[in-house]
Amino acid sequence: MDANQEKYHDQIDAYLRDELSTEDRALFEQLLEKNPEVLKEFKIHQELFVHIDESSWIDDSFTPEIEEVKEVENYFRSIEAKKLKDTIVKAQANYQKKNNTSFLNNRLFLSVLAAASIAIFVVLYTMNSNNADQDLYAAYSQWQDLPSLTSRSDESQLAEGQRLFEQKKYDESYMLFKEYKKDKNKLLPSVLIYLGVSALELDQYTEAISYFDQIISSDTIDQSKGYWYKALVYLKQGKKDDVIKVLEIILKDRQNYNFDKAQALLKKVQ
Amino acid sequence: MKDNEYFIEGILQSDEKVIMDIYTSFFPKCLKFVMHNKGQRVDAEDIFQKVLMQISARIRCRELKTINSTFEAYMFTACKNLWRRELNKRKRVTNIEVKELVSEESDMAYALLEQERWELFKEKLEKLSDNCKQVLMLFLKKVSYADIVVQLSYSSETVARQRVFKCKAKLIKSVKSDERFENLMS
Repeated sequence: MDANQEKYHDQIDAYLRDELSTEDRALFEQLLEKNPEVLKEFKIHQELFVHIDESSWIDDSFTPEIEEVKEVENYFRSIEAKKLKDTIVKAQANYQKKNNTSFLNNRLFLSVLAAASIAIFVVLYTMNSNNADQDLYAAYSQWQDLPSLTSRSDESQLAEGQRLFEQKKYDESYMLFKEYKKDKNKLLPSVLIYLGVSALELDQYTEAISYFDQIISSDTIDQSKGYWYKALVYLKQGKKDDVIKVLEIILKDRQNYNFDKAQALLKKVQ
Repeated sequence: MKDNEYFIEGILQSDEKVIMDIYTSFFPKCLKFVMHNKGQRVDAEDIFQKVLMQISARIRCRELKTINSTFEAYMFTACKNLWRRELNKRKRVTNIEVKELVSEESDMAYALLEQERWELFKEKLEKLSDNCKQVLMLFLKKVSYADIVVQLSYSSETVARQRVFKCKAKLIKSVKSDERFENLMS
């Protein structure tokens, strides 16, 4: 470089290192416009800075010969280049098809995948929790513990009902108990239990609840049994919150029917 | 690992199988870089395709005989530079100063020549002494002279300035004296 250019070196450096005041920058830019020799030198310096700066590129400071550009451009327009481009496009498509995992890098796909897995999780979870409730229901619906009605064998209808119930012929037992109920204005809790449980087994939940509510509102010592069976109705339906509410009532008093079982069941449901 | 010759020949012959191999081996790294730098998958695909076209063009109508580094290193650097260029272009477009529309072929031609230019500077910088490289890097990263003095234990700012001046002059001289420089300069 000659002395003339060297004279501007410090200014070029200062400009490129952002060390000039606004006025000095403007002055220097005017100089660049007027003096192509300095501009040429400036551009090389500018390029040095750009090479180091990862956030920019040299196309501002460097302009290649137009003949060279044309030559390369013509290659890109050639038949050979077009053929290569087609092959690349094909290869890329095949690569994507083969490499399914590459889809994992696709943000859109990832978010869809995430949403889908959440949905699947929710479905499985609710199904599972339903299943869990069903399992619990199965475990607690051991009806062989129900009080026998045969002691009142004076009423053969009840004995027959119990027999049908024990044979799991719930349609028939339900019909029979309902018949029996017709001409009574007050039923013993034990009979109401058979009625309610038959209804429950037939998935007639509203009826089941109404029978168990009758037990609850009765003033018998078996009154608290109503809560237990009501809890089982909700359990079979998978109505977790209702199960919990009813169980909590049972747990208010140790004397209540199935207090310990209620405690155990509550833990499992929660 | 397959050698450079295998990949280069594959590109020159438009061999789909080899190009698939290239995608499998080198695309993920390029994709990761682009996605970590404000890009999308489509950007990475576009860039990668252009890098392959660029290699072919450089061998067919430029001076490039072969790739001396590993093929992987070359692919990654080319991918990085092309993406830097693209980001720079986008930055400019948003900054009012819209460049006139150029054809894709023309744009790719510019990108190729800029890549060659970049390699020239890189190569010359690497040939400097470690000491020169160190001080120039700090200078070009706009570190203040006061800090350069501290970091490189110079006795004064004047010494640091002299050192920068000498090393920079050396670098520019070696770039200018390279025959590629005149070819590339308008």
